[in-house]
Amino acid sequence: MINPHLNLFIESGLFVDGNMNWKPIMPAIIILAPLIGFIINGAISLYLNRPNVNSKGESSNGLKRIVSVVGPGSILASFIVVGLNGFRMLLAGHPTTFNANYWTWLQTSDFQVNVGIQIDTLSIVMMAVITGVGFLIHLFSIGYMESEKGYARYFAYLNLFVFFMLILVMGSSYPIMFVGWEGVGLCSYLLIGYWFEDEEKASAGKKAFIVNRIGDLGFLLGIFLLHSALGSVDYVGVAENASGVFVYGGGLVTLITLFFLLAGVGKSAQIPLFVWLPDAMAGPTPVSALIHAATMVTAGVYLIVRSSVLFAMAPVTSALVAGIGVSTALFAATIACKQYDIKKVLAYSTISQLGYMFLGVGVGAYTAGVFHLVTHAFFKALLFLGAGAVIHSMHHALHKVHSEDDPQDMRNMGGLRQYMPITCFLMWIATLAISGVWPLSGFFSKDEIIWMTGSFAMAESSPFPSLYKIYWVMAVATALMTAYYMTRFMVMTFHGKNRTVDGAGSAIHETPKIMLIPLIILGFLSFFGGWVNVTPHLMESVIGGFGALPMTDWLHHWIEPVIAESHHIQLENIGETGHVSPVGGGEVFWAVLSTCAAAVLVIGTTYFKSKSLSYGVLGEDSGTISRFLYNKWYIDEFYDKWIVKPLGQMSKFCWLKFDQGFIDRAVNLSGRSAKGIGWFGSLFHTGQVNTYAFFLTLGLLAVLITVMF
Amino acid sequence: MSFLNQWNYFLALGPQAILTTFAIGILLFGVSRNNTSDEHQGWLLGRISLAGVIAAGIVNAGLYPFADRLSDGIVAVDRYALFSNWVLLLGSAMAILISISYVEKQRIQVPEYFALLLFATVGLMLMTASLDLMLVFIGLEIASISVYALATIDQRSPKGSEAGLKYFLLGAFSTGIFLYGVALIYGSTGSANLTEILNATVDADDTGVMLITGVIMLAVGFCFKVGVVPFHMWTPDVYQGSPMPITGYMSVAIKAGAFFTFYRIFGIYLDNIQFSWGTVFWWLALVTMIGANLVALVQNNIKRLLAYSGIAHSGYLLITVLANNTTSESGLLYYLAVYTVANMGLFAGFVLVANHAEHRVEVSDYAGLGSKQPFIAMALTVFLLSLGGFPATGGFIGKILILRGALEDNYLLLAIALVISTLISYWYYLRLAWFMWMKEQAATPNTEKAPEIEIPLALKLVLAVSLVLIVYAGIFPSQLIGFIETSLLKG
Amino acid sequence: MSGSYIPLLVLFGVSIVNAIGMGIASHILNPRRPTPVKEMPYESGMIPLGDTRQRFSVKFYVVAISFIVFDLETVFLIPWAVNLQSLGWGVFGAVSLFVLLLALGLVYEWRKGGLEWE
Repeated sequence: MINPHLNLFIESGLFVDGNMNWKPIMPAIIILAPLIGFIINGAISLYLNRPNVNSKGESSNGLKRIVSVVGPGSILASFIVVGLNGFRMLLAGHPTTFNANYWTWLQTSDFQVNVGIQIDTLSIVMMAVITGVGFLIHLFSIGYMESEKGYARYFAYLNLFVFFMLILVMGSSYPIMFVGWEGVGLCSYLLIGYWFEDEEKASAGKKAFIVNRIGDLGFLLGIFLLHSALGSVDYVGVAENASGVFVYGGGLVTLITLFFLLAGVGKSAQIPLFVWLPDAMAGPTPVSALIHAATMVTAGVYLIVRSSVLFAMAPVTSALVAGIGVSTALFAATIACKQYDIKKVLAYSTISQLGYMFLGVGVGAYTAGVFHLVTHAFFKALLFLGAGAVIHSMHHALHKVHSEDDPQDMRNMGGLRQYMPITCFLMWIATLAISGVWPLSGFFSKDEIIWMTGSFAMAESSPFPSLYKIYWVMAVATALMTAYYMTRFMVMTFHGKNRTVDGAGSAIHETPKIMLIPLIILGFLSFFGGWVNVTPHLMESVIGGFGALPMTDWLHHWIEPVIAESHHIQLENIGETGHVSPVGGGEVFWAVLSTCAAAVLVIGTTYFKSKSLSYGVLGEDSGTISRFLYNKWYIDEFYDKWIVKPLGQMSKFCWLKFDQGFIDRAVNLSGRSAKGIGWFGSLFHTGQVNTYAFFLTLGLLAVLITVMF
Repeated sequence: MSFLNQWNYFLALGPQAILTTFAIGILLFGVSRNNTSDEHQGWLLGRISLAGVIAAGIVNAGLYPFADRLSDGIVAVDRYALFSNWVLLLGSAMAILISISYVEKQRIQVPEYFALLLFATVGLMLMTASLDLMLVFIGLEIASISVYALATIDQRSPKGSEAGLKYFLLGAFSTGIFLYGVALIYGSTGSANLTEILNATVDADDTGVMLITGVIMLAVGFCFKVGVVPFHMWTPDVYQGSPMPITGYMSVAIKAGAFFTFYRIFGIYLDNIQFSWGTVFWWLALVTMIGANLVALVQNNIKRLLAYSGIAHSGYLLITVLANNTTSESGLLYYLAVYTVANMGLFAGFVLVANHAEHRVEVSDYAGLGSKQPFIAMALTVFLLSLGGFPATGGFIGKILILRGALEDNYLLLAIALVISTLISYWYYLRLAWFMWMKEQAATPNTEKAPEIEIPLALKLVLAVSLVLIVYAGIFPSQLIGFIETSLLKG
Repeated sequence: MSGSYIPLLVLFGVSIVNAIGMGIASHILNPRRPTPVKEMPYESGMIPLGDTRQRFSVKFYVVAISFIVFDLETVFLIPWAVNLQSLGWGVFGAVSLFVLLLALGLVYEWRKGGLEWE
């Protein structure tokens, strides 16, 4: 047996599971490359931070160049290895699960956790998205963050994030996933507070961290319960033992999945824990694109897909997953309709789309959930980066004319198409994709979720048929609303009359090349990305151009092995899904939905264009509903009043009672007695020490009384 | 009684004897020199006491072959006691290292300082190894009295005097309670020897009022020492007033020593009557975890913050005494080891930032440390994360073990409370980290700029070693856990 | 099982009631006719000068502590001396160590100036 530490780099791990004929090449490189990037960039950042270095401009420029190479380069290296392995996996024909255990992390009498990775079809898809989209965003960041002070620090954090994210998806057990889970939370916290001169931004980071911790509580308890029940916390063990131990709809599996759901809700910003994501937009825009749109926030979906066996056995939790998902989708979409901050619209749109993914995994359409995750990563990253490009030029333009206007406020934009035509074109692709217009990627992924929801309601023994029908209606409504707010977003930003401060408009110009290239690649992916998962009967219909377009249902087969067990459970207990919908007619429904979305787009465009989009008109939303939506349903205020404030008061109260009261009042030991601090103090002569002793005695008596009776 | 037998007893107390010798030597060295204002006395005596600790460590290692043969005396030489010696010696070695520059700069009476530090360690080691309540008491008092004196050792500091006096008065009070408990236990079982108490309580039905009252009073005495709510009130005041390295030592060694003994007495020898103290401990643990963490949220003085954090950790550790199975026992040992390292590391950083004095102890004074002193800030951040229980640090593994142990004995509610209070604790640990990394140092209005921090070698050593240990314990914990599992009392 | 604690509770109760009751009773029952002379701390003594809480030199404590230490030494030494024959050399060694430690303490105190009055 080879030493596992040495073996790390050679070819595989210590232990090869299942089929021997497929082994990944250097899987450790995938994880280690970003880590090395982090170390190098971190070291450079610390070096540059030294007070005496700042004066030497030249050397810092040279170092900056190194950062620009190392930052994206390390992710590219990862991506290449992932691609290579993916390709090999593809060639191997029947994808197998690869497991490598490097060392024993934790071992007690009956609890063992190995540090190990698992590469299977699901994790390689996630890895490809993380490193691929991650690389593009790193590339974009070179341009975007060019003039920022903490350039190296930024890339260090970004690399660290990718490192933890890869741990999250590559870990072979829940505790390893938890390490990544916590790590990405930490990085998110660091990156949101990146512009730390700004008090508000730093506190937004804290909000994100704390809310995420509530989710982590669920994760930890879920892991422990899972271990108590199954005696195993690695995916292979869980999948093997689950069906033997749990019963369909049983209490224990429902409890475990509820805890996991809590974790997912926190991480993926679903109701009621979504409040942190809009605030998290305080970070740099590429960070929003990478962490808060494409990768980290989808970790909740990944967790549920990973635990699909458990969720499939817990119909109540699944219904809750779907319910939370679709409610969040609708709810966030309504808010997005009335926001003016360009990033806030996208933030709520992200929450809404994450809701779709939850809906998908809630109705057992795990493939559809992952599929939407992938396409969403493409088009939402594109939207965010495009918005970043807009903000970038707006910022410079406004800076040039010394304007104090908010470069993120869409009321200050308008008509940007003439200055940034390529960006505008690419953004329209993403908009059409997210709205679900044929034949762009969003159409296939989102409509599949809606379709699966409908068919789940119609399934033979669907657990809550009428509930799922309501979900279906809500999902359709959200789809149309998505088209509406995205149109509003595009028109306000790129069309109509230019509303920037005088003279600033002409200073706006097209994005630099280094930022444009990632946008173009993402645009391509947003367009064609959906063609990898189209069911054969759709391909043969008008949607697939009667078989003429190069579409495939590849992803479906690719993910299948990971979720086969859950499909099996679903088939047994619920019946076949995916064939009928509440309004009948397979491909017709898809076409209708797409047409509707397109219609909303067209109508919306003309409506907003015809409306005089002057600053004043849009600024004053006098309607009650508008104000209600603009203020995001007053959810933040609600939390502040009912949770944050009471907690703070409780802490203050305890503090005053047990701490401050004695410290502030009592000044010194000596001489205290004569003056006395009222009846209480004089009763116990010297002040504080006696008070302490008094409480000590009271405590003792309390304890004794507790024992006696 | 043969001489050989006596020799065995001396052997059993080998590490303690070595430390005592060194301590007395240091004391005499101090009075033998006329020029007491020697500048480098701190460095010299610090090295001598460090040598003493190392020598004690060597003897401790040498005791392993005897570990299971010497079991008839009132001093246990079992692997549990030897393991606790390791933790205590590690804690005091670190305390010595971070003290050296401090005592020189503050012109503290160096020989007394180091001698008392060693005596305190001797007391704690005696306490953890003793199998007789009277010996526990003696050990506890040796340690306590030394620390009372250490708290007031800076005679020019009124705060220090106040803290020491306060600690002394309340400590004496709690000692009274403790001793009262011992007396009641003696009265009802006829012995102060733990083994005989165990035999006397085998038949749990005829436990009288006296025994249970005694046990509870004993527990309260311990709870005072480790700072369990509501017996914690002295902690923040005393921590705040004491010299910084001593605060570090108190927060680590006293707590570790008391908990090692606590577990030995309650987890093993009073296990038969767990029904009597179980409920109380359950409540104490709950109140301590939640209460201390809540109060810590609003603290601005780092020493008070750490005091409340330490109280909260006592709450976590109380769960292990309660759950009392092999997992939770290894959890206790692991947690104490990691906690010792992390907390001492943290205090090393504090001493540095305070520039070996007592100023700059507000949380806001740590603003901008990340850019000025990245290494220190990074180390401190890791220690804070470890205290909070972040994955890939030692603290996480410790918490997992405690949680696991609690769940094995079905203390689900306590486990949830532990996780929730951990969540709360993140807020204030991260607040400090946030100040270090996310805030620029406020432009100092007063002309004296914050002095450049000079890092003495000793402190560098403490920081680096702690950092490595914490990270190692977080990523490769299995070796340490394996070692701990051979050191359990519940074998 | 809590039945066995009832005597204890009764004892608590009785003692508390007794303590409070005595105070209250004497307060109610005693006849009070204050005169300036009666208000004085010592009705027929000297009029006190200054505060009763006087500090006195810490040196007294040092001497007192030294006394107690060596006082206790005799407590151990005399029983040992009486049984010297039967206890043997082992105990002799132990006692010698004890005396040595005390002697070292004395040396320390001496050198430190603990025995000098000025």
